[in-house]
Amino acid sequence: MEASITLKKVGKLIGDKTILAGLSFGVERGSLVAIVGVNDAGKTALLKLLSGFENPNYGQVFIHGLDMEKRRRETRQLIGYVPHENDLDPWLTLEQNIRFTANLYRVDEETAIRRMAMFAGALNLVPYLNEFASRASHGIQKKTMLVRELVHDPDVLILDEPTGYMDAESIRETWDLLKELKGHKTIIYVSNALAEIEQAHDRIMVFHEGRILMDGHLDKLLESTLDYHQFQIEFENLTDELFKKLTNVATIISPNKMDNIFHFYGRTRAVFFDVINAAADEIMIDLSVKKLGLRDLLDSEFAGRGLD
Amino acid sequence: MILALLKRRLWLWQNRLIPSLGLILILPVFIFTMVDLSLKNILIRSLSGVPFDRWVFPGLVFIIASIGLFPLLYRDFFDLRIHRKLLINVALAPYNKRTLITGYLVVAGIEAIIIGLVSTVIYSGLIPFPLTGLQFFFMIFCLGIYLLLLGNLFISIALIVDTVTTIIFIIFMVFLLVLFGNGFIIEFGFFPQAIEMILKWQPLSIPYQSLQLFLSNGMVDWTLISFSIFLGWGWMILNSMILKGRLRQ
Repeated sequence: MEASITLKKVGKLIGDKTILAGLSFGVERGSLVAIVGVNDAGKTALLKLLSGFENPNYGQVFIHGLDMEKRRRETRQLIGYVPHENDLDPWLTLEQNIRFTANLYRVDEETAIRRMAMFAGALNLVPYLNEFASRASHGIQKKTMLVRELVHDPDVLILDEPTGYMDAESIRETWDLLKELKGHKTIIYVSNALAEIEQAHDRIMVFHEGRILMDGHLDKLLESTLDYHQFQIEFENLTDELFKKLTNVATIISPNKMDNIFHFYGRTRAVFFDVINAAADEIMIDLSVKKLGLRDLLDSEFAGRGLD
Repeated sequence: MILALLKRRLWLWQNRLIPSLGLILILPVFIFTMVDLSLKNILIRSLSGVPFDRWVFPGLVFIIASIGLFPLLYRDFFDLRIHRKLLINVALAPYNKRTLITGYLVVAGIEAIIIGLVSTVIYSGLIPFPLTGLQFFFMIFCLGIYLLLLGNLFISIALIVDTVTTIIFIIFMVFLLVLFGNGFIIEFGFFPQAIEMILKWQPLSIPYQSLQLFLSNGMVDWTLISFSIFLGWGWMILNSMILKGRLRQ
């Protein structure tokens, strides 16, 4: 597959602090890429570089093979960027905001109106188009920002928290639209909504301290942890002594205590019974077992050390 | 770019038509009342003997256009910038920063000239219209050059300053300069000689001096006019560099 976005040893510094450290990767055309990581990991900084919002301190970013710094005008035509915070003109209506961007990108009136009707319809935005941006709810503003970028038909969509501030119905509508666009457009997004990411991605890039820690489809990322399970046992009274005793069970990994809940990981379900045996004399209120997901993967301990 | 920005201004007018129209009509009358009605009893005639009413006419139009220009540029380059609205999105469109600055300046200039023209119509009803057709067109030409310089000054201030209080202080000083330091209502001859020299050479006053020269002698000083245009063009490039730096793009 052809590369839509290519980064070659891209770095970003703010003062002495390294925000992005020599990143090199490519994104295939038409793919849906999620970027996740803890706060301050460099996710938004990366989106800003990809959108042309900021320049890297070193390295090169290519969009469809064009160097973003040398071919600024052409590459900007190819990109649609939706930032996290609302940046609409507060005293224009939502429709006027969308049409202003269409005018900026020289989209003819008829095409702009057709696209606006199509995307606003898909996001159930039509009833709000005549509202002033300053008076619209945050979720509606976010949807407008997405339509505003789609109206100039960019090949690459860069989205910072695409469903931020939205209600459940709006989230569903937005993902339906984005999944429909996938294949025609390269979509790269940052989100903290891990459940949404699990459902909507071709590839997940896990960022940590300006570097890519993990990269691939969720199944591939979880490959190394497929045997692992997460366990929770709620005791009537989880004393420090009991907690210490349980942490001494040799087969458990990353034991944790929260109030009366004992939380741990294990490679097989048999680990669970080891703990049950060790705590046989105690009163247990609740038990739970689940396979690992993205949230567990992102747990900083896992990200830092892995499970082994 | 210019067309997109023009349409946006039209929408903004349309969305706030009554308050905007009200201000545009009230402002010239207010300035006339505060400036002309009082000063014509003090200054009576210009240094060259022209009745103050007639002499001050173009100056009043320049003042109105200056006041009309400020909010347009303040809104986009200060208010929306510090609140992280719109400007960044516009800056991501496929235009270089110089085109962007030029676009904003041209659109704001057109709007300020229209506001100036409205005030011309209003003043013509209050005092006799003192200009011939040619003089009127030359006044609009000089007003355009003046707005190019003043607009650049407003943009520089709006881009460099990040706090509301600082910008209020600076803009207050700029408006004192606009009112009294350009020869719009007080001739330079009324100032001490040293100050007069400084004011004559400050760039904002040059287009109006060219206009006064044309109105009194029918002469056009193309050197001064060319200098103003060249300065405005250079300032636009400087502003595009400041904008680029401020947006870190």
